[in-house]
Amino acid sequence: MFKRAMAIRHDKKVLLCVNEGILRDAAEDLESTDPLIRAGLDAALRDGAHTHDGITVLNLNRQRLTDKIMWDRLVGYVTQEELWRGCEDCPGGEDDNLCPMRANASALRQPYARHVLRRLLQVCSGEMTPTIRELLSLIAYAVVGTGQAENSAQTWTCQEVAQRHRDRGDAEFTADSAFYNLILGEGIDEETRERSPLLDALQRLTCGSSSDLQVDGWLRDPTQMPEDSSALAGPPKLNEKRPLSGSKSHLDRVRTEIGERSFAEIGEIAAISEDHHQVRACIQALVEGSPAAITSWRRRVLFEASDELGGPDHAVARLTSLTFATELLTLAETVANGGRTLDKLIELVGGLNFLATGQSTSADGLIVPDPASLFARKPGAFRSALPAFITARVPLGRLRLAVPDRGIVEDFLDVDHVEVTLSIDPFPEPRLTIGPRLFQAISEARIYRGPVGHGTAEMTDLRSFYGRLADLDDLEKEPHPLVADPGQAGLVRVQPPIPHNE
Amino acid sequence: MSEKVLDPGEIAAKLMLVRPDRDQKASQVCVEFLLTLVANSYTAPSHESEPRSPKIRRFALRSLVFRRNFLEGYGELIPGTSMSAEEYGRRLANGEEVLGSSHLDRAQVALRGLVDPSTETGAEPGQYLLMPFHESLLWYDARRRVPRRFTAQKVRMRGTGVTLARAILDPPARASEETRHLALKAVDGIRGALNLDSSLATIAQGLEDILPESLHTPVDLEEDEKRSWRLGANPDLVELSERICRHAAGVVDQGGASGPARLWQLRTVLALDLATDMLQRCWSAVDEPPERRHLLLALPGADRPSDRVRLRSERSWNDARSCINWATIRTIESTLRELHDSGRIDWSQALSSRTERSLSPRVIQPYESGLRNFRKLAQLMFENATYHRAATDGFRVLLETIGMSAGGTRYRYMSATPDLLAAWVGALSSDMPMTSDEFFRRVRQEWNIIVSPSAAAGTTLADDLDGDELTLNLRRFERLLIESGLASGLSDRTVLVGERVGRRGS
Repeated sequence: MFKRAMAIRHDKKVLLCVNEGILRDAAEDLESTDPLIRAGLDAALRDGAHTHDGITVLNLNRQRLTDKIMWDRLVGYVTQEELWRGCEDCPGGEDDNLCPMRANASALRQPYARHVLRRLLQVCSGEMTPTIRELLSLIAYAVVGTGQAENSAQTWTCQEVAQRHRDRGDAEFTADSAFYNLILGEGIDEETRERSPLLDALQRLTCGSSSDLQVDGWLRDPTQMPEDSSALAGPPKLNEKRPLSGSKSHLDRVRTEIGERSFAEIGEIAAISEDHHQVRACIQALVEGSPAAITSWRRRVLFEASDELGGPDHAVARLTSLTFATELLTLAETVANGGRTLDKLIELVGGLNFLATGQSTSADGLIVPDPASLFARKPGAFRSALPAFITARVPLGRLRLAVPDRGIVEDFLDVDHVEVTLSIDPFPEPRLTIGPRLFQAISEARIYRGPVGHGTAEMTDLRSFYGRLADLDDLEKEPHPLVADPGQAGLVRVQPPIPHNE
Repeated sequence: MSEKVLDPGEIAAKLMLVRPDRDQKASQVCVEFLLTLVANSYTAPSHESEPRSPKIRRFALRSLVFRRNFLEGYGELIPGTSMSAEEYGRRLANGEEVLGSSHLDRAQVALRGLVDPSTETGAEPGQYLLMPFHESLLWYDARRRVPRRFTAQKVRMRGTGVTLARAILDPPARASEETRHLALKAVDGIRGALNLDSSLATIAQGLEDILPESLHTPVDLEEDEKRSWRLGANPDLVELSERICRHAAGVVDQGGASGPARLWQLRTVLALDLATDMLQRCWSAVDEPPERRHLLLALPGADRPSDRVRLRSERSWNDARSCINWATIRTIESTLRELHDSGRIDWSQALSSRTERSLSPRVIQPYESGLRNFRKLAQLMFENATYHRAATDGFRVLLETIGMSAGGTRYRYMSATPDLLAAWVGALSSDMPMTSDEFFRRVRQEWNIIVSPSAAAGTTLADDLDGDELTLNLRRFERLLIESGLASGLSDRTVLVGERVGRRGS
């Protein structure tokens, strides 16, 4: 097949879709007769695409479906109103909120929720390659999932929703089935989640797991919450004692030992009730549920009230573990559009210098440590950095930020820039690909100048990059041994004892 | 000299040929190996008795790194000065400037960061080592012996590295042509990695070069070092030699890794090859069926009792250790029979006096009273002397120091750190890239290590564990490979390992 395609490639177009392994095997088998295949494959793996002498190799692993236009189409396809008008005996009738599936679809049609979800998936796609099938499945699950791992049926049917609504009314459906929990894989057992790279990456963002004083405070005292968003907590109606009197949909309801309550009711009981039993039940739901009510609340705010936190990007930064990831996405966008990035480059170099040598200055440009010294760096350790030997310094002017997918990759594939690369002019290699986790480590190092994340994976990447950099013949090496000492500003020259000739 | 054939060390040597004991960690084996290569200029001496000793001192550098005067008691003058070596060492230890130097105190702290933490046991810095990143950073164990003087001598390096160096410099006669080719490639690559330009080397070499020639004089080869060297040519070591040559060549020839990273992988691979060779010999000694010859590695979840792969890995670890114990007992038994069949066991000839004392009441007296159940006698000997130290503990320590053992002492299981995964990828670099499934099948072939369901095919694990459980284990290892930059996850869920190392010169 490959031979035939090679023979006729100048006369007509031939499209071959193959897995990388098969293509590699073919390239190796045909190396002697058609070396172009191997060269094209290697280049495409490095650059995303390569074209030469009638052969174009495209690496579909560079395809990203989170580009804004593509993303809106994808989410719109699954959540479009026409699909979710309600069945014959729909409990909601014309009201979307009474059916969990319709309420989820309706919420996902909101631009903010879509944007936040896009941001989360962009961050994840810096670590793995979500396919269109996975994304569609995930969005569909976010709409129709039950969220109950113990339930044999993981997705609702119209019949079941109608039946349950008849039996128990509105209270039957709670935040367990809310899109903001389902989209993060809630309701799917741990092992299945772990097997899906996408769900695994989403879970590791730990959305809503960390405390945010302002968001948590809104639950305790809803009057602090901006008026436009206060309805998200389902505040009780005035002079109404009946539980869930202000609840709008399952999105604001939580199951507790004392029955279903809205977020606002749980917060109020936990904060001011004198009924010990009720207080204990609400606190238990707040911190021990699966997911805990406080986690659900933070996630709801993230998806539906991010404007109150300074916009979706700030909300993602505040309510996920990758607090700098959206900065990287913005930077990648700026780089892709050819915008000015000098300030960001300076910040990146400062962070990299801290990770590599313990010095967070960028005044000396990018400091390239001796590869051996990198083994002494433990950015995750709670102790001061040790001095490191230096191989070279690269002025800022020679550093280049780029995005990996340019040129024909952009022409042929749906791409979304979620990473940046750092290289030294004029060399295309070595280059450091900065994804969300490495960017997080670099940013933390620059700002806190202290222990950074877990460190192992990030340092493996850096060791490889600096190792290849130090081996670069054309890089001007330091003529004398230099040490970067985190305890002192600047670098010091070390002179070993000088032999005295007799 | 008559050997004490029933002593623990001799029994372990009979069973395993190369037998590091529990004081020899991966770093000691590797540094002794590298020192032997360096001392012999990376070539096998032309005559059997000519190898040079690996005992390289580097007392000036050690004085600076450990803030301890290793040159104490050496009154020789530094050439061209009136300063004694002892005074020079004192100044280095204090981080003071000496003979035109500057900022040695900074270099001191920077070098301190490169001390291999696995060697920092005990109060005596004579046994501490730097990570083996350059020729000028390698030294042999030292001990203060004659009053106030350190000398290079055996403490924790006990000849294992010398044997392995012989196995790669001059593979056993039965080794294939391909092995010899790989050996040359490996030695050449090691030389290159150990001699890369480096500021560290400039400082380290500068400190040593100033010392008088007498402090650089090579130490004579000792008798046991000669024995270790001769052992490296033993035809029974041909498989170990082939594995080491193949893996070392893979590690040093890979693309995308710095010199220090390659040398660190070499340390890991040497220890792993040695440990798995020891285990292989024990499996053979107890006729372990092929389907039980494996080590199961796990990356466990949060809940130990429900994690069957982890529990099975704990059992796999215990099985491996019991196998070594049983193989040791069988070796003792066969040795007892041989001695008995050749007349009568002369215990004082066959045992050192200390071991003889500890075995006297439980073993020697029953034998003298007519007990001829040699299996029972062998078991009693194993229980009442330090045979486990010479065999089982050596195996354990090697795996511990390369990050293959986890879980504390009570629930110990086998796992892999990113460094160990990197060493596997490096060792197999000539065949990279490959899918993770193929990668873990190769890991099984090379080291009998099992991670994935396909690698477990044909073993008892396939009966003990569900395919799903092993698949989850595989996914966890794949994730670790990806996070460590050793693999990439493709959109069709294939994980491609070693793309970077497969590209030479990139």
